[in-house]
Amino acid sequence: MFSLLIQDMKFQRILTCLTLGWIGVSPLSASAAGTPYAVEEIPVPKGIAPEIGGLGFTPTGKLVVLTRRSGVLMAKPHADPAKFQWSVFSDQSLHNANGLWVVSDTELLVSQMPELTRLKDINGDGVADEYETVMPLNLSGAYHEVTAGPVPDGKGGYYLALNTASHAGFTFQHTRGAYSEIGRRGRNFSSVPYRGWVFHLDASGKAEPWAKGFRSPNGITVDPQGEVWVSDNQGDFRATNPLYHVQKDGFYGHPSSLVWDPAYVKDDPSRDPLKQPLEELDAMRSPAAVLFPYGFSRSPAEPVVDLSGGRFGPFSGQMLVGDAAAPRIIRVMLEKVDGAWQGACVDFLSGNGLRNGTNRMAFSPSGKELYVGQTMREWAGAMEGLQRVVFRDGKVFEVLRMHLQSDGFEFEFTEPVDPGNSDSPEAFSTESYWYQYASKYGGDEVAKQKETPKSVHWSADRRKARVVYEGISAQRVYRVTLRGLTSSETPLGHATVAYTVNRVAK
Amino acid sequence: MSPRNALLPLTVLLPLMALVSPLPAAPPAASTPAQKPALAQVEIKVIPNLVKFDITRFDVVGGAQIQLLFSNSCVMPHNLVILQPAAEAGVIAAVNALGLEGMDKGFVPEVPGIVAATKLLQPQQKQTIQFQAPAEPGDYPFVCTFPGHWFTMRGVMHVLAPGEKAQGAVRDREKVVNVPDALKDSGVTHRPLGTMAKPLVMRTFVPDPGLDEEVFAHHGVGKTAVKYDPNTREDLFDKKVDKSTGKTVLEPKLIPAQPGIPGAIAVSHGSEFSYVWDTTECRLLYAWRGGFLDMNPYWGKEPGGVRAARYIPKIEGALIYRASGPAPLSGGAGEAPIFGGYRMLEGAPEFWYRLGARLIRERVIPRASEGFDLEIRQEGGGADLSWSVSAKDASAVKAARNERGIRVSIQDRPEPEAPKSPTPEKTPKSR
Repeated sequence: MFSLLIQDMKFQRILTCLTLGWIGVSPLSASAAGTPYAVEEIPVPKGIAPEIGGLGFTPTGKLVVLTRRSGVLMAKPHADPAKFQWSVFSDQSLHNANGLWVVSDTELLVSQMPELTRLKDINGDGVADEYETVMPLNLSGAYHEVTAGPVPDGKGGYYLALNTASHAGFTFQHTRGAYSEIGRRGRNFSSVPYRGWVFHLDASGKAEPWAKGFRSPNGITVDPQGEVWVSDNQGDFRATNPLYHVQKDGFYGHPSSLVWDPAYVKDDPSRDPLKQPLEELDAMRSPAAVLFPYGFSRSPAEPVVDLSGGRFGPFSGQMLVGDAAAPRIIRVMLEKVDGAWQGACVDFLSGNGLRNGTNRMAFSPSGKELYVGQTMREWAGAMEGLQRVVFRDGKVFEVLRMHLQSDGFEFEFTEPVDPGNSDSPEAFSTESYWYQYASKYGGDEVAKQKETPKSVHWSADRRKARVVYEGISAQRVYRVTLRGLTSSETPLGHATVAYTVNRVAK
Repeated sequence: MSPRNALLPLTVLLPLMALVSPLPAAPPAASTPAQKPALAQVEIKVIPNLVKFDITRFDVVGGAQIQLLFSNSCVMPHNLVILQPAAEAGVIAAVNALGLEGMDKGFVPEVPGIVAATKLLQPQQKQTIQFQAPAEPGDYPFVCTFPGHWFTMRGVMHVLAPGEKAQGAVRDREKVVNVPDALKDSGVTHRPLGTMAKPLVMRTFVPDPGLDEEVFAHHGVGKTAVKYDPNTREDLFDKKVDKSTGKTVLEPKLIPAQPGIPGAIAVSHGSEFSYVWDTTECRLLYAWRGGFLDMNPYWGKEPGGVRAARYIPKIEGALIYRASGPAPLSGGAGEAPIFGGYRMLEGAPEFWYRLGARLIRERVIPRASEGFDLEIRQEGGGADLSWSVSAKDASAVKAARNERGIRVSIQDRPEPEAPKSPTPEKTPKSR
């Protein structure tokens, strides 16, 4: 049967065309059964550059759209995406505004390049009249020094993530903040404090440099348990795109930020972290909870946690991460192993009319829609706009969770899996690899090897499969491609899952 | 097996299919090496948004003349660079080392190992290049050298060995629905203007038109930096021959600091009057008439896109005022002002900042011609501060106290021409 198909090219071409026409996306990465998630385009008024730096909802359910240079819009969402009644909350051109937290219908916190700003409508006419500086931010003049956040810490305070500068930009003769010649060295660099840091602003307004070692942290979120998550971008000292579970005083691998750490500099102001042996830097750093394969995510943006309680499908409690450089949203499945967070990632949505350039995302109050804002102007060409992903009730057949075990993985599925193909270890085609910590820009998957599943054990309800290998090693990413799995003949939506093993299960 | 089930093995089989792609791929006709190879044509496009070439392998005859049409059917800029078999790491390292010059050079460094290269093509541009295929059989990788793109934009030009039969080009299978860029139809202008009654407040990098150093008392001093190589973590040098001694000397590759101001607020009251007020120094820096800011260098060419290599906006019009000397309102030696924000009063911003225990409120009162005023009020903090006018400004600036605070009247001092667009400081010969 299979060889017949190969020989009958004409037949195969027809099938391929059918498949492509049907689902509109790659036959490799998307569900052949269609998707219960639809992508809708939301137009914004003329004269507004739809470069989305922030999305959020007010307590009364208004969507707030922060643009990077065309002010702030608000609208009550409408079932028809073309019928939003927009109002202008601010018509001021903020400086590359890239972070938003909605306090109320009349108050927003916005990060723009030189500061974190509180926008307030005092007289109740729906337009901000006050722009209060909550926290000044230093700038060397590099276009790349943008901010992600603020995100609330749950205790009245906020976190912010500060990008480094890029060598594709330059430094001004007059900088905002003290200039460090040592900090100026580097591909991505930190010539003014505190580039490459995550900041904590407590409820009293006290700002504290909280964690360091970031390169281009374009996404920060705090989950319902109060854990802080930061997505960073592949580049120098970043072999691939990571997701970090961030803890106070942690160092996350990009050394430039260390010039502003008194504990690092100690009594030697000439100490240059770029001249320190790589092994030492490597030993100082905390690992990424998830290393996104480069083909999964080229430029991760804001992570959001699905708190819809099931109204957005079966992934409640999991994290979705947008991608600024591909038409894709990935889903993260985290678990705590040996006291530390790590886990797996898989495509959530790929193609399907999603635009390239996803930067910010926010769930609607109903939880049935995910609003998605795009912009990638500075990096590589324009891809800007506003969309929403709508969950239409329907069957979602995906990997729900992936648990590490001492001798393999347990895969949990959203639906019972048909017997047949799935009973063979060959249905769980696996390779493992790692990344080398290096100063260069990006890195390959190294020490790649094929892993052979020995056996598969299905639960009685056929929702869980325990896949056993010879062994599982720490410091490896296991990429599993699930072949030929179906549920009542519906094929699995996204078949490639990658699990980052920092620690093995005991 | 139901028809739906029959579809399933396809996901497994598709990779095989690509090797025998039935799609026409403009391969060069295989000819024996003895014959003079004909001109072979290859067309390669970019899969929109996916950072991939549509062709991942094509075969050529060694020594043949190849005409390659590269179409950038994507929303990002791309090039196509064909490399010698083992040259990729070195070329990529050299691209990384280009830094600021990367964009200007189309990310094609002047290093050995490059067989052929297109220019950096903007979205929807096309270019045909003609080159001779290398004689040596083997796999010659091609990549896009725009930083980061080479991870996924890659393929192989295979030079056939004698007797080896040419295969059809291999195509990438991924296809994506192309979603339009909503910015294109936004009607956004990159020469924005406010009006006299309703000014436009804009926070942006602004040019430094050559203000006194004293004006930047509370800024850091950005210096000329040296290019850095992320592969070696070393600074980069040029080898130069010293003519007088004949010896080779190393000169650092320098990156001059640029004349921009990072944290200012620019306000347009229409083409008649614009000003820049700085949130680091907490003072008016300059004012001008005849336009506002051309944002094309920073926001990219209208309606938007990649910023220009020198991304400081350009002043349109001519300056009528520039700040000079130390801050006119001083709370005492070394007391740094702390910017607090601004509120909109009758459509225009009133800035506020702290000088020690004093809270200062400051407004710029525009006029369509012939001068403008500053209104300064002090709240709390003890004795009223005074506004000092430097000798240089005495003829044009008058400060007087009234019941509201201080009124500073500034007469136009028109400059003969528009400030030149920002230029980098002169590159010193050595550091």
